[in-house]
Amino acid sequence: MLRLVPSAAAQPAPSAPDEPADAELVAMARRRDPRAAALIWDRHAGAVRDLLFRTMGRDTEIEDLLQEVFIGFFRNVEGLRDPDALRAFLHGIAVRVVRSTLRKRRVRRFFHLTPTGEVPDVPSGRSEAGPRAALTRLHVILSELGDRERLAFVLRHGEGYELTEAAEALGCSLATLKRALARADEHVQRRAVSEPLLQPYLTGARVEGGARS
Amino acid sequence: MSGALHELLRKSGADESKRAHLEGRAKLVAAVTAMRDGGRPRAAHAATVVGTLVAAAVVVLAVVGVWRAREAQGITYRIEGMSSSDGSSGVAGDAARMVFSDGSTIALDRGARGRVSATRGDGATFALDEGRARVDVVHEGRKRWSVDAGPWAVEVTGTAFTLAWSVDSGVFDLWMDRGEVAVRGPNLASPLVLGAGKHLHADARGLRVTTDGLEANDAPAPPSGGSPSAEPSASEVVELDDVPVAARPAPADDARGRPAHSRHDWSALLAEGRYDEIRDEARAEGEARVLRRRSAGDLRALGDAARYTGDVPLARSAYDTLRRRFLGSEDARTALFLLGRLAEEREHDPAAALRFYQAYTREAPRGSFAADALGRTMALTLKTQGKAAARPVAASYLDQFPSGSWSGMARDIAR
Repeated sequence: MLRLVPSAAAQPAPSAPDEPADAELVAMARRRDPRAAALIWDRHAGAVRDLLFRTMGRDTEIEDLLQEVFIGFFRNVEGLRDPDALRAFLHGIAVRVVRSTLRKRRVRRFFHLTPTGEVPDVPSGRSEAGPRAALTRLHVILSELGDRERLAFVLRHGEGYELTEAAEALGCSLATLKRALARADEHVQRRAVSEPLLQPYLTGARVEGGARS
Repeated sequence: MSGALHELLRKSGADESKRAHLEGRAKLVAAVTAMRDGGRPRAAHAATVVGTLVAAAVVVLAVVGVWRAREAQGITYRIEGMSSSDGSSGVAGDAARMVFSDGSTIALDRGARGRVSATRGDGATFALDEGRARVDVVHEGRKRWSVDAGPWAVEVTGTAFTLAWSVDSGVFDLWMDRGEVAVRGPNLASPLVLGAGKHLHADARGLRVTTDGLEANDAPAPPSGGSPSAEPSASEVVELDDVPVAARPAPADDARGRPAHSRHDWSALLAEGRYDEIRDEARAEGEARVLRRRSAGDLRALGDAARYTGDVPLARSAYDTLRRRFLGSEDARTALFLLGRLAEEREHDPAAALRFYQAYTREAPRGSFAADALGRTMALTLKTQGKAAARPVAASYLDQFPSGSWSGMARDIAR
């Protein structure tokens, strides 16, 4: 399995020399320093938003979920044992928020509150093409997975988590994580081969450009 | 498994405009502040005054104490002339004066109630719950002060004025001494700018702006527990004569518009995701009473909680009431956008959603949700009417928000 980026989960976010380190930000949050919210948001909101996007795809609730993650942090900051692990702590909350959201959507779908169980997504636009369109298809495929498999795939391949880190984030054993990841990989591979837009990504052809929402 | 597919995922990310980032940050800061304040006991002192001045003994809640304000590195203040205080969160008494670190002052008349609801580096927000206050903001650099009184909001740069607000009668008066302010309130589609010498009077019959040369110190004092007694002397009625004021907020049970038995700030509960508790409290209090008496902030929190939990009728009632009772306010404009979200996400009525988003865009072209409203208008137009119809909306979006979160779709449509 190709791992694309070094493990990023447990690393403190880099800070400029004149900016407080993550541990100091955590200390500020604990002593209810009014500056803490803005500083932590500025440093970490982008990465958490990306994690939410990679997991949920284009979704109208992402900004709301992002707020939920950071509010969850401030409510539970006393539970953070290692202040240097702020980034991993936030990502862990994000994983829980995603799982909770997906679970609620399944309930809504069961009770037919919405046809899909999801807050209607943003129309993608008929002229969508290239990496954006391919990414949309990949998210559709990911949405067919169970929550654990979907998150395992994103944490491992999208966020560059080590297997042990991904297992910890998902609250499961390493063996369970490996099984979930294997199921996810198999499903994505099987479905992707029938998606023309994803062909360039399977054949090893060089594909230019990233895909932002 | 192809590494290129993983890389596609790894390189992906949500678009983040500067505006969205700042809005998100402001929202988080407000939520965290609400959590912090919500967890702190608020002192409420029973007034004990004898004779005819019984009504003059009131409790003034100061949300942020001096030591906490200093800690916030925002503007700080001290309170003078208070008759009693617990030294941290409350001050009771009469004729209190707040002196801010930039030299600005707010003097409360005997019997008035108010509180500093927020402090920032460049100013503060003061909420006058009842009675009369004289505000003198020092003009020095860029300032961002505001004074709230019921459904009215006065935005200040550097100026002096006196304002009075009566919860019971719904009467609002503003006497300008010097400088200039922008007033937002019921039936004002856009902020009303008032200069020195102007007097704004609003009651259930309408709203008047007069130029009467009245000195602020000579302004009629509101009778105890009531509104200013004098009608405007009206040497010159400038504008807005007899514009009907929207149904004024009904008397609330306490200074924050909450009944005595309700223990929670719904905005704080919302920030913590405790949606069901908000709905439970609303049910316990009675929906009709809630809609009639609760503050704009509570109505919005109730609407949001109902929307998030799929209670469409309650959400609609809350937003409709917010719009009707606080017409002309920022909250009422925001209600338009939220009604759009409700129609789009819960009622699956794109035509209705479009109407709400377009109305919001007209009423608040520079509002907090302006970019999102226009983006959603574009998306819904594309969905319901096709690309040709959506193209001008996309062009308008790109013109105004070239790096907004909908800019990718806008470019696709505009191509």
